[in-house]
Amino acid sequence: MTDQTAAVEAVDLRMRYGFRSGTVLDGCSFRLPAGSISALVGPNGAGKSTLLAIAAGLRRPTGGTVRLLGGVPGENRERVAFVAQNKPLYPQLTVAGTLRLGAELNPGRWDQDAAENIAYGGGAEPKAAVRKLSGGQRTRVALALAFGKRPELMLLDEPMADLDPLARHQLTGALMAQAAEHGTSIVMSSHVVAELESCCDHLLLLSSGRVQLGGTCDEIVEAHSRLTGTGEDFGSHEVVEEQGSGRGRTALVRPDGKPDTGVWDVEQPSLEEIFLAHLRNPAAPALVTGSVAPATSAREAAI
Amino acid sequence: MTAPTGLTRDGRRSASHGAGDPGPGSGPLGPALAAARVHRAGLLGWTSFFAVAACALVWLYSVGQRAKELDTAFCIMSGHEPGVPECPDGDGFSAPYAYSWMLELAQTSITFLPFAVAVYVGGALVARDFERGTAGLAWTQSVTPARWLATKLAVPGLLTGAGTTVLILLQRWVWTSGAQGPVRFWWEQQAFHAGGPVGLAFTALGLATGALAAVLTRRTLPAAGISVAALAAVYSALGSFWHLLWPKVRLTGTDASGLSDRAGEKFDVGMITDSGTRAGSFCDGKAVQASLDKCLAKYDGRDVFAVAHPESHFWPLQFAEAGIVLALAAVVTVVAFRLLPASGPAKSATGGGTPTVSGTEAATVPHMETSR
Repeated sequence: MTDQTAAVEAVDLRMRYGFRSGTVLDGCSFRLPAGSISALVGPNGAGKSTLLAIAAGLRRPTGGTVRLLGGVPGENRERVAFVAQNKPLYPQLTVAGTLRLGAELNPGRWDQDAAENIAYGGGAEPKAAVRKLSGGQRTRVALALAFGKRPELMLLDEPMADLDPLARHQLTGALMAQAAEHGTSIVMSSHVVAELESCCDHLLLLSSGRVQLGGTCDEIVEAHSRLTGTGEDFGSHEVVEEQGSGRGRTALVRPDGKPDTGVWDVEQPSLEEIFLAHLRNPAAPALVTGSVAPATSAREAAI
Repeated sequence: MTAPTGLTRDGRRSASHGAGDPGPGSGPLGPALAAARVHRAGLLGWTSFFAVAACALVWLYSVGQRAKELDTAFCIMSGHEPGVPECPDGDGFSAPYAYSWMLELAQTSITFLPFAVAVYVGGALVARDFERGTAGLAWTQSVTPARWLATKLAVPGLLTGAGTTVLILLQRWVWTSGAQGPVRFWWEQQAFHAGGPVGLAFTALGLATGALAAVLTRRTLPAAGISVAALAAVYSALGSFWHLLWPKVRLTGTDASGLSDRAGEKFDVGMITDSGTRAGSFCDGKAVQASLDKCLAKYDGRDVFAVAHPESHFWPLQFAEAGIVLALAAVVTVVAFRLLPASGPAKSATGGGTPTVSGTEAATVPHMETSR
């Protein structure tokens, strides 16, 4: 592993909200290395928000453990920032008042410049009441509270959802700069794969409360191939999704060894294609590559 | 694959990451100041109520003095009490009447102030923070849930506690120095609550029930409703059982027959005869031994008795009741704090010991060095 401590490490994390509702997290195990940007992707209801809320110390899991920067959630509050999906803020405060709140709640850590850079980048006035802000400005203020506390780990739940493309671009840049300059670990969730592919080092695909895919973008792409041809079967290649296509057949597989190029036309699928194939086929076996596999699971696999 | 440097321009203007400007208002009082600013409306509401109420009580003192000068030290507003004349009915502004209803209003307000505190704390102060998600915002800034709730309760606790104390003292001053005729008896629940530490303890209980209801329901309206209902239950239970909190005395002779409602509440009265006792009030209002003897002879009794709380029991009863209410408030507060998410390295959730990697059949491929 490149880093000794993981930004977030979960072992068999389970969560259900009550006896009647279903399981939200069903044994998630993964390890997101520190000092990198990790993306948590998955369809709506996959458990992304729950996972982040547990990591932020806002909810207790029903089972399993999660550790942040080597501590349990809530232990190192001042080193971890969290922005919830609905961007909770006090509507009666002004933008400046909200930043002041951040300063008061983070004594000794607060970086007013960093917070102001984010908050006022979208045209918000310091004296504007939070309740009167647009969705994008509101997101900026919420993110400003996260930036201002100078965290070592940022947990962001759908941070870009309310932003226009330009603001997305700017804030993605700000996040990448934060990670590059200060070694901040960032874990952000989204259901838009395309916007994460360009900026994230690690990807975690959550589906029905389980980790379906985990690894760096390159690892995930390299582990898959699209085979098209007229062969009898796919042999030992693990098939994620198969489609009949006119005269032949085409499938997204995890190749076991090098596919026979005489029989198959081998293509490199895009990350989004791989994700879509997995989302359509939740029964496909999970693939968690070395960099994201939890220590315990790696040990068990080795036995 | 990452970090196109051209995008970093929006990152930060200054490089003050290591020793940045700590920002205004930070320090040990930071969270308290933050709470005060977030709840400015409540702060303003309470201060204005307090100011108006305190001024009104000071003015009411002068009304009470005027009522006293009108020789209404011993009169009764309505109903009938043996040996007590009815209060004079004045034309226009009648000091005794004004004093009477205004003092009653003051006592009622002080008595039910804790209910308002419970609604405010349960609803606006704590539950709304849950409802909006701003509780989570505070917890993921550098404030633990326990510290967050403590600040939420400490600031209004200090302010309502100090304010209630002043109002109770003012009320006592007006009540005890003004005309005694047209006011409530000391043992009537609202006079009792507004006249001593019980009122203060009840404010603490209102604060605590509001907090617990909010932590339990995490929603504004249910929290306000539940805290008021719980407080009302305690209030009515105290109204029924307060007299058990201190041993009553058994009076005989003129002590029993001459005890007016003003001086104490009687729980059992009767006559002692040669064959035992007879229940019922027979010789009420006979403060002089001769008239009592005459009355006893008429009913063929030897003596009268009364089991009662005389006025001297005011303070013991106050402290006993306040103690119980405070203990209850402490328990409720502890429960509210225990229901918050644990902060710090408390006992983690179940299954921490032997994690099993069931569920995900995590296939691992040989680790590939990341490019970053």
